[in-house]
Amino acid sequence: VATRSARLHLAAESQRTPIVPNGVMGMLLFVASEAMLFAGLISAFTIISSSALVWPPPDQPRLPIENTALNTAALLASGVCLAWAQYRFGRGRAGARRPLLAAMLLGAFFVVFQGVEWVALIRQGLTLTSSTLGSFFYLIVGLHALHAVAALGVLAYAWVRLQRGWLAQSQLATAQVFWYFVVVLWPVLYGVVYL
Amino acid sequence: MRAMPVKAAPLGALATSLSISLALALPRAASACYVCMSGRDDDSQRAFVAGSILLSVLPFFTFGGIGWYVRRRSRQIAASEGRGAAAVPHAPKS
Repeated sequence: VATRSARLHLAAESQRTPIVPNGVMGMLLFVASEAMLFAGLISAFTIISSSALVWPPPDQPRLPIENTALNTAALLASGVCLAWAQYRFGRGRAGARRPLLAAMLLGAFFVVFQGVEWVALIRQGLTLTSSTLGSFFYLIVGLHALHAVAALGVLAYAWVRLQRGWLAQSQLATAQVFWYFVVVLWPVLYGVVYL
Repeated sequence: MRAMPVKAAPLGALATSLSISLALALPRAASACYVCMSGRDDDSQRAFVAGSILLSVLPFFTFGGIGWYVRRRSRQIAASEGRGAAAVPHAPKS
């Protein structure tokens, strides 16, 4: 009787809902460590720019503030679409397809637009070695773009699983944590680096 | 009259004294770094303070936020399990 009771207890334990799914917890810890990395870069950039006699360097091209504001709006809209996808996912998985696809397309637009801006800036003479502005710009914005591309990959993986009917709530939540990090971080970087 | 035996200075003592001398000289080299020399005007000092605050506070917010989320989820699950257990009717005793 005692053995049977222990087995039943173990079975009940194994069926209990985890407090936080492993994927979500792993992603939260990853995002926390990446936040520290970006905080270090922001701190270094702020100190260097405030220590310079003239900032931004006069012989360097100006950063495209207006175009990037439009791009920022696209990225924020993708975050809203992902929140909408999560809402629809809870009310029937099929309804989440379009908002998730919209979030991905807006995110891809952000990355491509950033690439186009980079090409224009490099042509105007802002390179990784042309000045401290160039070094920090490509390091900070490039690192964010790298995260955006990786997060887009995670979103695409979630979308494929959703299409096949295999997407679990915890997998969508993991993708959301990563993408929200990319979305929330960008306005901060825009304010520090561009403005 | 017998002479006292004279020992050669051991190599270990020489290395120790050299290490101590180097250690004493290091702080002077550290204080001459670029950041220490540049942080004298108001803007730089403000940037230093802001950076220090950001880097000090951010770990508390991030990991505190994770802790808060885990605690909130734990309470939600406990509440839902409590509701589920209350909804299950008791089996009749045979």
